[in-house]
This record gives sequence, structure tokens and C-alpha cells, in this order.
Amino acid sequence: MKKSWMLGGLLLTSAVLGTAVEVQFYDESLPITLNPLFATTMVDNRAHELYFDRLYYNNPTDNSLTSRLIDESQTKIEDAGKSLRLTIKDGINWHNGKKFTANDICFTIDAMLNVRTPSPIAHYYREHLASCTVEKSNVAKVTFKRVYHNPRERLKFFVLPKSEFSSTAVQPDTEFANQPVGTGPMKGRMGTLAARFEAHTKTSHHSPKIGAMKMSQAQDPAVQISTLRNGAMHGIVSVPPIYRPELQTESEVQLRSYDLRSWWFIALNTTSGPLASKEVRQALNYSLDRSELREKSIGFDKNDKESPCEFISGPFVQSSAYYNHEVPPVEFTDKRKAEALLNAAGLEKNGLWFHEGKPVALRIGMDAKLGKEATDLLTQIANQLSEAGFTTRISKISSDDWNRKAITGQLTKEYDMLIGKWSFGINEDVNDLFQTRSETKFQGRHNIFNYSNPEVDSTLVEYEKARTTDGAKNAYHKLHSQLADDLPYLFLWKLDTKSAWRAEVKDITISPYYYFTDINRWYVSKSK
Amino acid sequence: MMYGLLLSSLWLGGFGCTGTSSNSDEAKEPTQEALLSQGDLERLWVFKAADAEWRGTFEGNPGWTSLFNRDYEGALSDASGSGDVRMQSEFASIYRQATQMHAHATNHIYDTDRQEEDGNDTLYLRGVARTILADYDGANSDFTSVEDEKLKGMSLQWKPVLESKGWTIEHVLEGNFVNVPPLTLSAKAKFRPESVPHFTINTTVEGVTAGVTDGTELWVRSRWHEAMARDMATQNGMDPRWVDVFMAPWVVPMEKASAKEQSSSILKALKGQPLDEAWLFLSRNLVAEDALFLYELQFSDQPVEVLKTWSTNSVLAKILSGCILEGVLDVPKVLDAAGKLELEVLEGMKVSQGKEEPFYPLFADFAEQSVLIAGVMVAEKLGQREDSGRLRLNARDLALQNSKDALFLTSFAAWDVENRYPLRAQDMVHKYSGDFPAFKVAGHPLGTLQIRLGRSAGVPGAAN
Repeated sequence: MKKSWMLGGLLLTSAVLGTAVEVQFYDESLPITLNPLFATTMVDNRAHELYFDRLYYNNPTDNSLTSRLIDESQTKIEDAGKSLRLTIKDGINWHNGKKFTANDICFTIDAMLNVRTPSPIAHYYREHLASCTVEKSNVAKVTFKRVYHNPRERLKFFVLPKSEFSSTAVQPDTEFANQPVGTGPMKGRMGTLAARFEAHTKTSHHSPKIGAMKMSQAQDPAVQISTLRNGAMHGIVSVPPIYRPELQTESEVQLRSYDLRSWWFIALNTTSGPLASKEVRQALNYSLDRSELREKSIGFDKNDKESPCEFISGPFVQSSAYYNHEVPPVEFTDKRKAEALLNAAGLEKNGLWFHEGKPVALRIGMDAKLGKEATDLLTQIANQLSEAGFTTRISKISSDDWNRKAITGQLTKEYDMLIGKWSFGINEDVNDLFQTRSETKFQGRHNIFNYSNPEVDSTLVEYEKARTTDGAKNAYHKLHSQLADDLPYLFLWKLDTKSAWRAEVKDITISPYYYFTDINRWYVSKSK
Repeated sequence: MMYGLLLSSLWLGGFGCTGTSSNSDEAKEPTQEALLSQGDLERLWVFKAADAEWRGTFEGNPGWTSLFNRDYEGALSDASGSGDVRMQSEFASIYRQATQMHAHATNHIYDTDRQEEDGNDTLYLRGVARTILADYDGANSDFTSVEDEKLKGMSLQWKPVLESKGWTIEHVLEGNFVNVPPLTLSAKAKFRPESVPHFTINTTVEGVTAGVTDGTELWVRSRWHEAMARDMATQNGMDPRWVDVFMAPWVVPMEKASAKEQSSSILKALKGQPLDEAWLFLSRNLVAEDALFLYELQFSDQPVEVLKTWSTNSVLAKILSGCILEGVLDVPKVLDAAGKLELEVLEGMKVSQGKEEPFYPLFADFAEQSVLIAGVMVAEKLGQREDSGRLRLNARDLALQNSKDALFLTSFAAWDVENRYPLRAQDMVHKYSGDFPAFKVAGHPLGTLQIRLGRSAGVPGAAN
């Protein structure tokens, strides 16, 4: 409970909320899919945490590895450490009332092992898992490709119901992706305007105190804040930094940290016209005044020691061991350097910059949801580049297009620059973002403009094959340095994520990365 | 009286923790009686802070101003008199918790998360960590197995601690990489920045070494600040045993036994002794008895009894004892009580001064933080580890800028690392690296742990 200057107002809440109330919240966008094998966004991950159970997960508070599905007292390590014999807890049911069995665990593993399941997530598990055998209806034996000292850590996937699929070759565009059946604490479906959730109570392993939830796509930030304040909404997953100071002093709302490592970037199309030249990319880097961008779009307070926003010079947050602190971020515009680089690249200035006789026109796109966190960022960037002598054309890209086209490298003809952000949990592997794309090798899956640099590729392999921790760290330090020079991305900043929930929503613990892991404990009280 | 009337019209209910319990599905009406009596309220330093005369003792003093603004480096440099003692104690405690963080990270790296690359040299680092964490047999086994002559030599200074099964004040330990300034009555003496990593060890991969840091250095720093605090306390006419009381919640496992041994006599001597308010201002204790309650709590095997005993005169014990349900600390009740106390303090400040000042909420927030942090300690003593984590998260999230307590946050980071979760700790270390330059020593093994966990995690990397 926090901060009211009006004690009387505290106890007389405008919105009287009870457990029967549908808890409504804004997320950055709607999920792209409710099939967890095809999750690409943080919104997907958060929604899947409500609909499904992961076989194992880390307790969001004390990080202990645990399972809601498996009776750990009966788990046995077999085959000299290569297999785990898992026994399912009693009384677990799917949302459709069917009993959860070992068949479901093995179906999920078989689906991930089936190469005709076009899931990048499945590909990841294929590296670790060898097979799954149903020994009894409640016993599954999972075999790994090799002995791991922490095999349960390799079993953090969401479990799918065998009864809902006709084949282990699971496809993304099926009805299941809109109306999933899980064992998670909430059941429901996705609509065109919202995703709805209803408590899953007919099972032994969940007893959520919240009866129903509704996830809506974030609106204009001012609208979000206003509906939260007047009690029409209960929560906002990601509060724009500019609104955080005023919310922090309110009694009706509590700000909560969402532990997530997110950094923002502008991807450059290294095959498009003048941007193919490294000097031009470097000149663009010096043409941006990040300090001004941060002030105008994030609302950065120079005196704030706890600033949520910090410049970066490479693909990691500064607190990460991978961040190379020897590479300084570029904070301000340096016109002289920018002009020298453009001249060296053969561009000419005549009011505007010209390349091969034509004015340089930059087509800039931005993942639309970022505009809700950083107001006017797209316009501000375009303004700065215009001021530097480039013509610009800007557009916002819907979440759907961003996920289906931008990160899959299908917007190379339409755009020269794409503004986005990446989020990470404990695994800060960035190989997929910068490695030369290869569909057959599942490499470079998130390489936005299909960037390809043999030296960078070699460093990424060095990271992958590092036999020591320092070896991996040094490889990524080198990568950081290479990328800061070659600039397939202009690195902007890391931005902390804060949620806001009304004070009536009690006992909130926000899980790092997955967010809703502890939802069973949340409840709504009449008092604040 | 007027305040009492006003409160009674707003709050109707019971004493201590009230409100809904964690298991209640039913939404209940809020309870409405004051948590504290007017008399108790007026004892709190946060309440007194509304009074310009009382505040005047601290206001305008650059050290206290820096601490209020959470500029720890400035707070140490500019402290004077009893403020010096307090800041040296804060720094000693913060580096104690950094030492613990380093020890947990190192122990995980070379134990639970040990990898093929880790050779014999790592046993020295694990031995130091295990000593600090009071695993003396494990440490002895590690030190005995160390082969490198230089590392063997470095381990020798820890041997007496192993032999006596714990740290005692007679032990002297000098770091190998830190330049310890002489003890002086001036707080301006400073450590020279040290370079990190401290040294390299051999890995099992031929010709490949790994950079490492030695937790001994953090321990040496902490001990130096503690010694400074004790000397300065004497110089300022303060009983140096208050340093023990202040630091007790933050000592590392290897000191617990000796600290416990002397706790009865210290408690007996200090009970009833007036407490210099420099120990309270901007602290986690609201009244002198809170400090003594939390001191006794650290060494007791019967935390509920300690709560009961102190609930007559420690405000925090009084509030938290009302949050115990059948021997268990109820987290929602603690959260409710903390919020209510903040509001009562705020309203009390306004009523007592007949006006509202913009800084009142900033002070009142310390009251909420005090309850939450004391709740963390009680939960830990009751073995409610997950609940202590929930309270830690709430304390972190609900703190305003001025009540963000670096000592508590460092201890939270150490706790996280003990749980093999280094990310929040890395963020904390990074954020405070300007105030506590030696945090980089602790940050090093955190980075190693992060990389090892990340590379072996069963989850994919980037999402957008």
C-alpha cells in the first residue's frame, strides 16, 4: 500500500472489487499465438504462462526448480544419468476435463523432436532431448542426448495435450493457437480485441483466487493510465517511463518491477543502397542525439540516480557480464565525424545528402508497440535524421507484421531501418540476431535484415564452441566490439520494465521473464 | 488528542496486524483501528522528522544530506561526529553482504555449477567461500587439496578461522590485492581502487587461464570500516557495542557463533541505555528498542518468543507479532501493516505540525520499509524462505528513491545469489558501482555464474 496524502480517500475505493471481478489488464499487444511451441514475443510467453504449465519452472521468488505436474519425491535418475523417470501427480486435469497423463508429456517431446514441427523452440530442445517413453499412464521416462548435471533444467517446456493434435508434426496455424487447451491456472481463448481467461479449478494442481482475467492490447499511454486510475482496468504490464514518477506517489496504484533484460535498437539494412557502406552506418550512428531522444521519448530525468534507461554500445545491458565496457556508447550527435564519414563513403551534400546522384531516402519502420513505451520515438529519430540531411519516410509496423515479417527477415525490400527491442532472461545468447541466416541450420532466425559478416559469424561460432566461461565472455566482448564498429544495429539503450497494478490486487509476485508464474496467489480485495 | 480523534474516525479495528489473511477468498471490509497508539507514534524517528527542531540536528549536515539523497560515497566522505560512526557501520555491513554475495556465487560456480574447465586452483576460491559460509570441513578439504604454492600460501591466513570453527575478533586477516589504509580518526581515509580480476588461475584446458577475484578483499574492506566505526564511536563518546547491534543482521555465517556468544552481555548492557539518534535517522529501525529487538532476533532459536517479549516496547516487534498466525508470519498481513503504518505516520506528521510538507511522505515511507525489512528477518528466522523473498520483492518495489536502502538491497542480492539467481544482483551491483567501487569484486563471480547458468539454461534467448 502506498502513498496517499488523503487518508480518508484510502478506505473508500471508487471501484469496489471482489473475487468475482474480472481482472483486466493491458499488455503491449495481443499474443501472436497461444500455441507455446511457436511463441516469439514476450506477450506470448506471458499468456502461455496462464494457459499452460511448464513441466519444470523456477519459483519466481526463491528460484527453486519445481514442478506442478511431477511428483518430485518419485523422480528417479536412470541409465547412468541420461534418463529421468517422472511420475505425474494425482488429480491433474486439462481444461477440457481430460486427465493429464504421461502420454501428454511424451507427445510434447515427440512433437518437439519431429523435424516437421517448424518450431524454433522445439529446435532448441532437440539439442538436448533424445526420446520419451510412456511406462505407465502416470509415468514417463525422458532420455537426454547426454548426461547433464542439471537435467530438470532442460525440461522447462510447456506441455501440450495429445488429444488435441492428430500428429506429432504440430503446425502453427491451427485452431489450437486461438483456443488452446492447457493445464495452466487459466483457460480461455483469444478474441480479436482481447484474450480472455477463466480460472481452471477442476483440477488438483491449481486453485487461482482470481476468477477471470482479460488481456487487452495497450492503448494510447494516457488512456491506459487514466483507465487504471479510474478503476476500469486493474493493471498495465509495461508502464511508459514518462508516467512512472506520478504513479509512484499514488495510493490507488502500485508500481512493480518486472525483471527482464530489454534493450532497444535500430536495425540497419546493410544491403540497401548507401547503407551497405559501413561508413554510412557509422555516420548515422553519429547523427543521432541519443541524449535528446531519451529525454523526449522516455522522459529521462538527469538527476534520477535510478534511471530506468541507460545507453548501450552493443547487444547487452551494461550489468551483463557480456557487456564490453571498453566500447563507449555514443550519446550525442557528432556532426563533424558524421560528415567526414559520409564524404569518405562518396556521398555528397547539397542541402541533403546524395548517393549516386539521388537524395538518400531512409524508410524507417518501428514495432508499433514501442511507441506506447517511448512516446514519439519514431518521429524524433526521423527528425534528427532529417536535420542531418536525410529524407525520411516513417511507418509503424503492427505486432503481427513485426513478428511474421520483420524478425524473419522479410522486410528487407521495404525498409532501411527498423526500430525494435529484444528481451532476455538468464540466457543472453544473441547469435540468432547476427548470424548469417540459414533455415536448414536454424541459424540467424532473428536476423532482421539478413545481415552477414564472416568475421562476426566466426566470433559467434567461437562463442558457441567456447570451452571455458571466460572464453564465452571474451567471444561476446569481441562481438560487441565488432558490432559497434560494423553497425548492423544502432544500439540505443536498455530500458527497465515496470508494471502498475491497482492496490486492490493483492499478493502480487511478478516472475522474472514469465510474469504470471505465481498467479494462483494473486487475489482481489475490497480494501486497498 | 485531535489526531486520535481523526484517526479513530478513519480506522476501526484491532491492534497490530489486521486485514485479510493470505488464504481468504472472501473480500473483507478493511479494518480501521490505528496500528500504534499516539504515544508510540510519537516515539518514531520518522514522526519526529516532521519537527523542524528535531530535524535540525541532521539538516544542513552534508553527510546526512547525502545519505538522504542516497549518495553513499558523499555520505561517507562528508559524515562527521556520530554520523561518521553510522556511515562506517553502514559501509562495513554493506561490504559484509557483498562478501557473502561473492561467497555464494563462488561456491555455486565451483560446486553446483562446476564445469570441466575448473581445475585444482578453483579449490582455493571455493575454500575461501566455504569458510565465509561456515562450511569449515568443506573449506578444510578444499584448502588441503590446493596444489599451487602461491594459492596454498594465500589459504594459510584462513586456517586459524577453520581451526577455531569460526571467526573471532582475535583473528587478523590481510588481503592480497587490496591496499588497506591505516586506521585513522579521520573518515576521509580511502581504499585505492583495485583492478579486477585480481589474478588468473589455470583451467583444465591447456594454456588457458581464467580471471578471478578473491572474496578475502571484500572481507578486509568490511573489517576496516568496522574498525573505523568502533574507533570513532569511542572518540565520539558512543558505546561501540552499538556497532555490534547495528551490524548483527548483516554479519556473514562464519561470524554468527562468536557474535551470538557475546550477544547476551551486549543486550544486557545496552538495554535501557539511551541510543544516539544517529543510529536511527534514515535507518531501518524506528525506535531504539527496534534495534535491540532485531539484534536479539538474529541469535534466537525462538523468534516468536522474541517477538512477544519485545512487543511491549519495540514498535516493529509489536506490529509483526500481530502478523503471526499459528506460528507463521502472514505476508499479506505484513504488507497491510506496513502500508498502514506509513499512512498513520504521514497523517500524524500533518496533524502534529498543523501543515503538510512535501517531504513528509518521503520520511513516512521509511516506516513502511522498516516493517517490510524487519518482516524479512522474522520470516527468515521462522524458516519461511519463500515468504521472506516475497517481502524482499515488496520492499524493493515499494521504496521511494530516498528510502531505497543500499544495505538491504545488497543483502537481497546476496540472498538471490544464494538461490542461484544472479540477474537482479548484477543489476544492483551495476547500479551502486559508483558508491561502492569494490562491488566489482563481487560482480566478477556473479558474471561467471550468469554465463554458466545462461549457457546451460533450458530456455531460448531473445524474444521481442
